[in-house]
Amino acid sequence: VIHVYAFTVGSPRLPQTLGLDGADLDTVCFEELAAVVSRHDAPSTTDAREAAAAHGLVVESLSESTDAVLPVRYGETFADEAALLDALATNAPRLRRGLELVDGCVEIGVRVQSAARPAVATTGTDYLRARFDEVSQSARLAEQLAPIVRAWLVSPGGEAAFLVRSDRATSVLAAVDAFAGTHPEVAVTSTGPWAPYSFGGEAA
Amino acid sequence: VSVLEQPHRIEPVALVELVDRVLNKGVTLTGDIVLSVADVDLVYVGLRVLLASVATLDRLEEDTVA
Repeated sequence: VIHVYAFTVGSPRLPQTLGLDGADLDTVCFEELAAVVSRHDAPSTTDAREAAAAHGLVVESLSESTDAVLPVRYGETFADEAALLDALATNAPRLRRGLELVDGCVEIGVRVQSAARPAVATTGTDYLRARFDEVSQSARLAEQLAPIVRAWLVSPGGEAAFLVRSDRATSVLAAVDAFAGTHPEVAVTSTGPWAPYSFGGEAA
Repeated sequence: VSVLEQPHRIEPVALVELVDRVLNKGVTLTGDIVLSVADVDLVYVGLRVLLASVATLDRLEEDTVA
């Protein structure tokens, strides 16, 4: 079985980090696209949470040394190299667009939570109003950050993801802090910089 | 050595965030996740990505550089 961690271009310098079950990392290439993988003879016996963490650490290490990295969701496995190459060929245009979009970028995650949101919603209306506030504040933050980010996404839960050039990560985090300072009605938490998990080329 | 037993690698909170991202985000090649209940497919609808248009992006980058 082949486990896939991320896609990149060319011949990436693979990180020292070991893959799932301590396996070595390798690449499978289709034209200029490279899939970072590990090969396994037997089904993994590792605890799922630990395996997911190992997967994430490979992606993060890779993105530290490589400009364009598209992280793959945990659990993408292929029976053999032929199956992976087939999937690469089918998805090549989408992966190329995704890699172009994230080139030189990291992701900053922002969670906005309404201070008015009750721990246990008393009524459906209260709950929805709090949710609405969270989503609208996330959208407002996205508008403010638009000039310094490459792309953004606001989920229905009010969670936002910003794709930013690596050298601007610090200023984007500072801008998020500034937003938090002027909007005491919401609790704003930022995380990152991360590898760009949310911008996988499904973009319209 | 277990990944989770390497505290110097990553903070516990960051680890939870990392696992959350790895499980819920990232590219999939095998298509959208489809949950089936009693033979009825409930298709997971992916989030739409809102993008600054390339033209806007280029203009903004030029403005920032200038």
